[in-house]
Amino acid sequence: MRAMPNGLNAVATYTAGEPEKPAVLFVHGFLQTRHFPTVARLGASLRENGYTVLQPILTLRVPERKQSLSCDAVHTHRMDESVSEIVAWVEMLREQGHDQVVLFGHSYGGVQAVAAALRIPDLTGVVGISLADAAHTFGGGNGGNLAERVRDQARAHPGKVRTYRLSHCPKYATPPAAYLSYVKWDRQRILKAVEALDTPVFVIVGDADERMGTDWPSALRLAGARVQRVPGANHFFSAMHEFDLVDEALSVLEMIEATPR
Amino acid sequence: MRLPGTQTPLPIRAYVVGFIALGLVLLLALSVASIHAFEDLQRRMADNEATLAQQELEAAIQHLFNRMEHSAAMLADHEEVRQQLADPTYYDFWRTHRANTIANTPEWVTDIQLFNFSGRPLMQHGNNQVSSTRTAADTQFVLFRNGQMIGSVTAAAQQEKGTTTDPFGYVRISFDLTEALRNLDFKYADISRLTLGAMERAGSPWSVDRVLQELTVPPLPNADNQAMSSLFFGSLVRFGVIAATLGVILYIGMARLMVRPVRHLAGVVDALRSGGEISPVQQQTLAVSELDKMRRSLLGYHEDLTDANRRLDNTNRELWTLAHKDPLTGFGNRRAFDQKLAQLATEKPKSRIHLVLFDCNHFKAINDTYGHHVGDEVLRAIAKRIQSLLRTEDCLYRTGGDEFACIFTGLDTDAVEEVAARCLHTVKAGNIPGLDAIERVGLSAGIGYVDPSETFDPTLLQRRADVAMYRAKRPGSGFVVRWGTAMAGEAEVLASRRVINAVYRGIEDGHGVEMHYQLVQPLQDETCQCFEALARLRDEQGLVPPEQYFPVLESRGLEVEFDAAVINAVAEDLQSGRLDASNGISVNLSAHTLVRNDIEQLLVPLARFIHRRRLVLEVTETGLVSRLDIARENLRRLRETGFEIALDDFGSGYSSFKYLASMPVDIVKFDISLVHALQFDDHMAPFVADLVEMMHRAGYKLTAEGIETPEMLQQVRGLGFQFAQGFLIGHPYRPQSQTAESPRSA
Repeated sequence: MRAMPNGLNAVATYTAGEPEKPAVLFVHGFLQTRHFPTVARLGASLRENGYTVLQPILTLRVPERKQSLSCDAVHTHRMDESVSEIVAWVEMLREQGHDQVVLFGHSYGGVQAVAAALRIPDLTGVVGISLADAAHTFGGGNGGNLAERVRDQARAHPGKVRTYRLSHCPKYATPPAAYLSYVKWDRQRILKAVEALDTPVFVIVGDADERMGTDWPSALRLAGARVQRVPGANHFFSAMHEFDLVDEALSVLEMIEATPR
Repeated sequence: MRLPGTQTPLPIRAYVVGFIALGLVLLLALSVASIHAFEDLQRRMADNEATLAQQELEAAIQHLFNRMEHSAAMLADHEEVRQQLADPTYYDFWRTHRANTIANTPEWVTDIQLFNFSGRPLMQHGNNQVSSTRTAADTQFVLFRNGQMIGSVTAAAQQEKGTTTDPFGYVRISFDLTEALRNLDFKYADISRLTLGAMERAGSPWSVDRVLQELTVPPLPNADNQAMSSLFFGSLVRFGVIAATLGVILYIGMARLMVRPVRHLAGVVDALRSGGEISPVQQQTLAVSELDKMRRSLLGYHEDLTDANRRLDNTNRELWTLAHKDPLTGFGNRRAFDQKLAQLATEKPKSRIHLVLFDCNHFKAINDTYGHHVGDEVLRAIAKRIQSLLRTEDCLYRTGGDEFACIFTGLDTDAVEEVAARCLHTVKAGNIPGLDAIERVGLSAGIGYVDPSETFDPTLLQRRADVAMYRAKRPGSGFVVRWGTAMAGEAEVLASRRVINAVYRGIEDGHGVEMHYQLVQPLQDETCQCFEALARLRDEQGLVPPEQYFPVLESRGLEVEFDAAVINAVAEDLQSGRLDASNGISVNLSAHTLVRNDIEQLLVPLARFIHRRRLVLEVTETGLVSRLDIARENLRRLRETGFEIALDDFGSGYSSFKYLASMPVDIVKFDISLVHALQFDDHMAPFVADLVEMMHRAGYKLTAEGIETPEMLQQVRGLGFQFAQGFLIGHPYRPQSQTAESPRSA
């Protein structure tokens, strides 16, 4: 448990691994926890492979949050707060003596990891698994207009909770500003952030994951990320592709380790 | 069967009705008892249900509070609660839109509030505050608001899950307890009629325990109980109807199967008893086999009884005929004749009654000459011929061997005499089979009569007829003689034929002489019992008393012969052991015997018992008066032989003391007249007493005769009599066994 910049305590699991290997910090998906299978199994596998693994749960403004936050909850949390928490956890790893820290993020957690990487110097690497932008998360395909509408709402009634639609949350209650903090991280911003990063950025995507469109992997490559494609895997690398994800993650870590600094 | 205390039996219908009524009363009593028991059961069930309802209410309230407390605890642990407690910026929105959803509370939850760690509500306008110090009173309480009970539970949200220190905040869930109760399914409690009691006036919160004490709830109507009640009472009604119906059916059935047949049987019995006809209805078969069997048995027994009576009547008639008919002639016999006379005596005839006696002349000669068979034919012919001349109402009787009698009523004497004469003529005129043609049977007829002015006496009538017959037997009488007053003296002298025959038979061969013995009880120091021998004559008609045969003896001078017969009879009794050997015997001797020169010879049969028992010879005063010297000498010799001499009936005749003193007498028997004088004749008593005293001094033994009462016995005993005799001591009797016992002794 650690106090976060928002003043709330956050919980995480920390397993020290081989000191020569980089520490891996997992960022779970949006509203999820570290217990989400994709990140939980990958974390366990990396621990088994001797990596130091830190799996925090973003508070989302819930003290000591341990459970997924329901779509129907009142969402007062913001993107920047989550990013700040990630940065705080990296600092915790640094305090533990881990100079090399690789951020893993699943789904929008990858976006958060990329955003956090912009604020963390000397980050060893950023790996996005099924990296998905906020626009698709927030009721897909209409992000631009929606963002503007939300801005207008934020200006008009900043403290009023409104209900927006999220991809799996038909009624996502949140203040407009909070909602906007997520909405503005669209495809362009993500690609722009990837491109701006000096830290190596890897993206592992499944061929069956079309949330961001079929051109997303190539767009990421163009932005400078190294994209590892796993045939047949979906957004969550479920079933047998769990092991493909582990292999790819280990492979990526090797590559990261092999990358001169 | 009779009811106790009643004299008259009740008809069977009464018993049937009573039995059925009793059964119905018992059923009614049973029903009443069942109703009481059922109502008592219902009351207990109601009480039980009320208790269960109250308990169910309490349990429901506890359950609701527990449930809400659990929900509050669950909610307190929810991360959104923690979220709101950490940042209540959007608490109102969350409370409005989210709190109930995540709490998953039922509709009757009215409010969910969060309070900060210091107990202040997160709501800006909330004015209720959770106490920072957790107590049971704060945890659960009930308010009464707007007619509803509002329950509240509070749970602490911990900083760290699972701990109980440092509450992060508090969650309070308020719920409509009343509505919550209404939403529960109660088995016993009727929540719709829940009464709040004093809680309705409560302004401040109450603890749950206090609320439980105040709330009351009646039990729900128990459909099963109601159904059971309906079933019970319905069954009771049905049972009553069935019982009543059964009672009617039973009454009808018993009336048909029992009452009617029994009354039928009673009717049959009545008809049989009254001798009436058995009606066709009464002969019908009864429905009940046992009763019909009784009916058939009754009729059968009655028929058998009737037959038996009929046969008995026939037998009686035959016996009567045999008893009253003469077997030879077929006409009435002596018994019938005597009964006819007895009947006339009871009827007290209003006219002269005539008795005609017919006697066959020389019948003995005919019998001896021609034989008994012809003799019988003669008698049958006589009877037929006489009967042929009689009226229908006149009856002919054969009263003796060759004697016939006929009683005439309603005729005068001349007419009777004429009938008698015709009978004689008819009998004499006709031939009789077996007799020579020249033999004619002659009859003699004597007519006697009794006038209505006289007391009808059959003996008198017979005697007069006898007298007339006696005259008719005389030559020259015409053979038909009617009685006349001139013959009155002859009737007194002429004893009845029966008595004469009895006397002569007794004298000739001792036949009919029967000795009876009367006890002479010893008194004072005497020890020997003595019996006086009293002579009786018996013939085929019974005993002939002494007063009847003594006149015959006296008139014919047969005293000595009769004494001899008596002596022989006594000796025969002594010889046969009819009398006990210890008993003495006294025998009466007549005066004529007393003066006989051969008196010892006469007493020989008796003298041989002298040495074996005491023998006394009794002589009367009269006997002593005549031929005194011979009597004295004979008595002296007899005393020397061993006989004792007793003077009998002393005081009944003329007695001179000189004569008494000069006679060899050992015992003086005081006559009954002297003995009775002692008790009943105050004038004579002293004389008799002095006489007794004088007799004692003279050395005589005295016997008191005629003792009939204990007082008399006591008196004579007191006077010193040595012997007593009389009906009190014992009646004369003829011993049946060899030992003589007096039938009664004092």
